[in-house]
Amino acid sequence: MIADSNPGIRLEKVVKRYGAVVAVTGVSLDLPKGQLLALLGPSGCGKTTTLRLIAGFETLDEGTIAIGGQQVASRDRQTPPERRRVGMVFQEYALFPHLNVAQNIHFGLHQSPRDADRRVAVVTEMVGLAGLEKRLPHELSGGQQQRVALARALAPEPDVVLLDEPFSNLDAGLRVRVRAEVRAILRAAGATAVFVTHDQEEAMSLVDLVAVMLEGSVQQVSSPQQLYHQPATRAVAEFVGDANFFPGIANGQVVDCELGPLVLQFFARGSVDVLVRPENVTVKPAPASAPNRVKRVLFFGHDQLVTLQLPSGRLLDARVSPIYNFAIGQPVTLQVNGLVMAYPSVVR
Amino acid sequence: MLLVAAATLVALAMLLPLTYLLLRSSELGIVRALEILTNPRTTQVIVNSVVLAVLVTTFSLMLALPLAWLTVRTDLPGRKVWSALLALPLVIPSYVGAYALLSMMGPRGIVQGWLEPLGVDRLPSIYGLPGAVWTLTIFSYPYLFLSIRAGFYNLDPAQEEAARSLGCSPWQTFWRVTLPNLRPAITSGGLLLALYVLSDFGAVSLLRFNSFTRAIYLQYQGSFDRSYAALLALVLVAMTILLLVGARRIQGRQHYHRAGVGTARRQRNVRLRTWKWVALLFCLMVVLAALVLPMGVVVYWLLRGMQAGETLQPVSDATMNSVYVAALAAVVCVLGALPVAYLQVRYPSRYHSWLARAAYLGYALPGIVIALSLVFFGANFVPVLYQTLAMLIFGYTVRFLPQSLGTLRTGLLQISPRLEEAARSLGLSRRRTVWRVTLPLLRPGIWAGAALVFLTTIKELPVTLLLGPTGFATLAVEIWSAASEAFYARAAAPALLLVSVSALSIVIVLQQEERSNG
Repeated sequence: MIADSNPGIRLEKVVKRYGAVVAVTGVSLDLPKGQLLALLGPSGCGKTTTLRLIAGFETLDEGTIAIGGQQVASRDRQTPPERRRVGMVFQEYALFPHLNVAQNIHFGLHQSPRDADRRVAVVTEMVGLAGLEKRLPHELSGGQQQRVALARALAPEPDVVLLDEPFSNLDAGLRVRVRAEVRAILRAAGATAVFVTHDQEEAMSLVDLVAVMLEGSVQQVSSPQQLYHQPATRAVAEFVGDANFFPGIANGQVVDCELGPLVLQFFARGSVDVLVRPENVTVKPAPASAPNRVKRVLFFGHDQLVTLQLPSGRLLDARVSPIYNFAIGQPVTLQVNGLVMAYPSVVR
Repeated sequence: MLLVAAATLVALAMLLPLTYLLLRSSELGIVRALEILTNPRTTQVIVNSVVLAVLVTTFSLMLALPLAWLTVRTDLPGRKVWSALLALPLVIPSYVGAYALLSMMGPRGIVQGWLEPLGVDRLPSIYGLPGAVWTLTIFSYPYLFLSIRAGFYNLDPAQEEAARSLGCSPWQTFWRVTLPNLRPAITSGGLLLALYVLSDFGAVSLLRFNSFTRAIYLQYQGSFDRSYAALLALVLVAMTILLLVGARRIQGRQHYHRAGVGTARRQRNVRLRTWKWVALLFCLMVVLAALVLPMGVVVYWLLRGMQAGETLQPVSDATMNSVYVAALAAVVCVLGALPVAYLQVRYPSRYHSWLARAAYLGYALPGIVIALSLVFFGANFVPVLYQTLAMLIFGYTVRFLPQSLGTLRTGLLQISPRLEEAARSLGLSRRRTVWRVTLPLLRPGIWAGAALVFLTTIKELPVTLLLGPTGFATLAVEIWSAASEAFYARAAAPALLLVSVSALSIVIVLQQEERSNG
């Protein structure tokens, strides 16, 4: 197997309970070496717990975890955090306030002083903190603290780097830049890394693989593109991006629904819910005979979100280019572009 | 303008004792002063005081650090109860503690009484250094205990996790991350503890250990060379100011030390497993030695006194006196602190912060120093006031005004200036605004400040002893004089009363802390 010859992190059916509450319900994951993975999910879905299980700060109740081909956690045996070769970047950075930048980065190094100093210099350079070695953590900006935390985690050359909501403490403007920097640094270091985030945009733009966690279990692991275009379940589709659902009857490659016959990405039969992304709808002004009416318009500048009322009374959101000026009540025609996804319909 | 004048007056009044001491000792001249400072009797006092402070602080740390760790970071059974019990010795004033020790282990004490039939007529002496160290350690380690606990709570658990993920074992993590992070809490707590030990008069005087406070008292009592006493007092003040400045500086730095924001996760508790029993035994021993035994001894003497037909009349007189002067002191302190606090918070300027600093000076002045200075000052310049209640209240005010200033300041800081501005824009004058908005909102702070002063005044020994009118007995004085003359049964009832009052003050302090933390 590919994963075995090139092992990064492997979780198998990991379960974690807090008393009667099951925080993580059988998570399995496989991350090849050198890849970046985002654990994406709403707050309380168990993503941080999963990260802490990998780091060794929590003990699992069932399943196994292996890092770099070595099993580090099972029901009976837990490798303590300090022997897992895991670098962790904490949400609030957890820089040691009594140590300066260089000392913080030096902290995890256990080689000869000379080698350690050299390593500190290399890592400091890599994260672009050269010249700030003598500063104390409180004398640094948020972005700089972030980079010290990253450098400290990378310095001992860990098998994996774990990052817990690493950008949530930065203000929006800074966040985009730091994100790109961190990604570049991790790539340059050839690190295997797991991010925890609740921010879809962050997850998609940053990593090779996204694992969506909902209610304690991983629903889908795939590339950002696939995740967006082919969500594995209706719940994932609802969580990732915006979604319209319409009941329809699938008949092989084609599904019949209120929006007309649409072409499916996958064969399906029977009654289904059809996923239509707002971005995949084109809306045009039409004569009064057109059946759809504009109900609401939110204008953003670079695009606009138009809510249409269909003949059935159902609403459809469409994200369209700003070229048309839609008036409330205006008759319009609509067109769905590309292939669509369908999910077995839920009985309500 | 009126306010500034009032605040200035308060600040000047607070500066009076120290200024007078300076003047008084300057009469000696440099040569004579140096001669006194270097004579063996003086150096012995200095050495004694330093040794006492160092020993008590060291032993307290040896108790407080493990106890704080056990009650905050482990799965010790009944942690909440232990936390309360281990902090409780704080409510026992040092002279009550010394009295308990003397009346148990001293000549004519309980143990002596038991052993006499067996032919033991002399126990090893507990007077001097051993008794003083024991008593002060056991009744003041809670200061350090509470400060280290707060340090543990403020610690970001992610720090320890970071150290673990960087390859440190739990033991290494404690030494390399936890302890360095606790260092500000330990050093500032330790310095304040040393300050407390240096200022203590009750324990060292009863246990006859010649540290500064006792030496000063003996000088005052025995000799007519008052300049010498003044000089001793000045040296003591220099030491306490040094400690206070050190503690302040460390606490100030602690503030900047918290890098990063975000919510701190609940800390993980260490499992003690079989060590649990050792830990429980340790906690139990401390509680027995610091709480159960002393209070048991006091109750024992109370019962014996009642058997012997000891009358409670002097106790009720002393209680009345204590309550009366403490209430007066509370009112005066709050009234004096109000203008200073208001100016400092609402109209910050260099002058106003100097006023506040002057008013805070009392913190650094041991009670015996204030008392001594005011005795000299009264006898020389205002004989009308010498040994009157007015002088006594003035002494209390110098000593305890900083406490009410602290609570009033906190209270004012919590009132948004926007509220006062709203009142002004609604047509109220500045003075009416103070009356109708600021003071009503400040009411909790005023009450807390007054209560704090009241309760600490009741416990105050040296100021009462030296400044009170002749024959004016309060609870504190009653306990001290009965204990020093070995009338142990007579000291029991006032001691119990005092400890209960003192317990109340702890409750108020803890509530204040909770409010300012929340």
